[in-house]
Amino acid sequence: MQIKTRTWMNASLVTSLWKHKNIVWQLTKRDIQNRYKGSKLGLAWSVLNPLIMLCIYTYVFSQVFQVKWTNASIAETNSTDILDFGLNLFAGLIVFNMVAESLQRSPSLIVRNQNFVKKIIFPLETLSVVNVLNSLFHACTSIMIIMIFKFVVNGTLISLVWVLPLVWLPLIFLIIACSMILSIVGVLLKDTVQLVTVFTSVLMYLSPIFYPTSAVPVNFRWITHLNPLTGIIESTRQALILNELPNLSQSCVYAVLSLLICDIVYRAMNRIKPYLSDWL
Amino acid sequence: MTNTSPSIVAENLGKRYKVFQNDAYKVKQLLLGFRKQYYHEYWALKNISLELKSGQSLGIIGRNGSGKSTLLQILCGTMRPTTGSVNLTGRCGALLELGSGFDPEFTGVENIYMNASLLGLSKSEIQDRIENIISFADIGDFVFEKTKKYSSGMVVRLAFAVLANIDADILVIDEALAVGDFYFNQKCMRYIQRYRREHTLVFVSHDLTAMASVCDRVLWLENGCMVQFGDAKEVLERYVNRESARHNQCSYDLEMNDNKSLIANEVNSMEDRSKIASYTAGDTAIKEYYDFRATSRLDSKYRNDLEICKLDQRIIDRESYGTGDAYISSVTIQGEASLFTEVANASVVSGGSKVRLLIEVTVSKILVDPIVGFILKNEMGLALFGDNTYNTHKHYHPISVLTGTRIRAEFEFIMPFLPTGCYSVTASVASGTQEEHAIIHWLNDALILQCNNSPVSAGLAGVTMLAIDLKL
Repeated sequence: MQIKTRTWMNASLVTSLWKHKNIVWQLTKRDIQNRYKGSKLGLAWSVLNPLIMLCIYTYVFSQVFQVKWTNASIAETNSTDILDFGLNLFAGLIVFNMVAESLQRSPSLIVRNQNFVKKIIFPLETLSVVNVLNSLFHACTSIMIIMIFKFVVNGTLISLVWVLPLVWLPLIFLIIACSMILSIVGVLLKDTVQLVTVFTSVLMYLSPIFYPTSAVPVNFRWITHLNPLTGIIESTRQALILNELPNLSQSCVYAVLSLLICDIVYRAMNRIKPYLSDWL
Repeated sequence: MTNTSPSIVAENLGKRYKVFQNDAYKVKQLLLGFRKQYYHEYWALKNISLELKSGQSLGIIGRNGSGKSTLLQILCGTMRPTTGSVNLTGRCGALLELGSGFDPEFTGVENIYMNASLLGLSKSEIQDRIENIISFADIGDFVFEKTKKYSSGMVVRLAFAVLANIDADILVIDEALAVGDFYFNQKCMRYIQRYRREHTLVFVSHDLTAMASVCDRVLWLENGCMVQFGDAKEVLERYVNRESARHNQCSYDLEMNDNKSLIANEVNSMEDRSKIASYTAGDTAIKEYYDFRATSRLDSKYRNDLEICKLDQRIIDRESYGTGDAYISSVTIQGEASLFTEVANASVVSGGSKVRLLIEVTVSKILVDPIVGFILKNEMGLALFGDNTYNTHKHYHPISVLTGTRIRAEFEFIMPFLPTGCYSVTASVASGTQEEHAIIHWLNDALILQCNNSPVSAGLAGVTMLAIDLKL
């Protein structure tokens, strides 16, 4: 509790994260290592898991169901591209899984680390950031799988991967904000874990994962558009599968907006923080 | 560092807990709180104001549940006070209960990095200190293991080692040292003693001896309220008086009865005993006195045997420093075969009997005016007694001892009766005079004495009692 004049910048999330970058780095590394800890294949699972999933999706949807991915932006679907459905589905799932994993872990973040609240002064926001970075890591390995898969099967390189960070940035900030809120609500209300589980399953079907946005009846399309995942998933597919440049200026605006939201949440969290040790 | 600016200022601190009967009441309070109160209040802490200047050390005493830990948590900033405010100036390191803030999934080294960076050290600063931290903790290869595999003692070792190396301006320690072993506690107490001279210390312990030796100011809490805040000695004395009054006599003990009968038997044979041997040192005849209860104690449980611990080289962490011009090559203590202990036992000396302490120094570079000395310390690092060769040998000064020779200092004395516990002998060799000397070699914990039985009824040591009489 050092007496310091806290300026506006001084109290921002970015400043705090920069100050605690070592902790963020260490915790993230540990979290990623711990996921497959004790298993024989270790970190290889983070590659194997999405690879197997991708193969299964491709097989089931293109061979068993024989469905075609009808995308509005292409007038005529290339029927020879058997990979299409699996890849589209997989691209959607990558984004969705990143969100779902982060959200599901969030309510227990602080509850599991009570020491950090009661025994020391710990920057609790890092827990949420680490949580999201952890999911982001697994999303990235999945992206690599898609690239390799496409190269092996189609012989094409995905040249637009570089836009993904920009496309995902708004989403990442948004999940961090949600994760911070959930981590605190999780302390107050034990039911949060259940609520989040239900919410993510609903979110899965409301997001254009198993279908393109164009497949939604026009009457209900507003629901899809309310969902912040929709735009991200569509842009991701655009870049990865259609090889089209998504609307980047829009992403930039969203990124700034969501960073702002994230920062506001962080400041609110700092206000609540002193009360936490009473609630735990 | 020792300036008089306040480093801890706390004003009117209070902590209120709302106690709800069940969760439904919580919801009711949230929704209908404006109409009716659905909880009853519990004040864990009330009206605490204190100011501590930089360089002072504060002890907090009180029974369990009196609010000590709550106060510490508020001082460290992990808990928000309901009323009042705290201001700390400087970096504050805290050891609240066991293993504070360690992540059990991290290895020791990782936890060091995380803990230290939370306390505000940069990566390069930690890298500079990591060796010191690891050697202070001294838990061997366990630093590379996950902390969940640690014993509680190891966790505290590591936590304290980090704290000791971060240059905190304020150190807060909450009874954590209770689980450390003797060697480590010695080391910690030495560190704390050194630390408190220059920095601010807040210390909670139920060990009042430790508190008396460490703290200048003591705060006495009872049921969350301040009973007294002031000079350590004053407060501790009042506290002890009050507490013992509370325990009220229920243990006016059997021991006393035992003692009485022993004394009764003893008085008759006193006569014979006081004729005992005398021996000469130089020209002075010194009469040798023995405690009049000595024989009766021999076979009783009050025999004050001090076992000389076999030192396990692996676990021992002697702290030793010096110029290296000479080093202490051996320190031994021998009990003398006396009238009462017929055989000199190699591994036991007895309180109240004559012992001989030998300190052997090997000189590796010409040593001028050597002084060899020792200090016997108790578990809390408190020096009970000690002596050196200066006064008896200063007439020979200046002398110089040649390289490669060995010098041996012998101290022959009556070992005082010691309360049960662990004792350590620190040996040192210096060069110069009593007032002004350079330490050539200082060896902490050169010998460890373990005492399991003791006739001492009060105080840090017992004296040779010549007679006790109760005139009726």
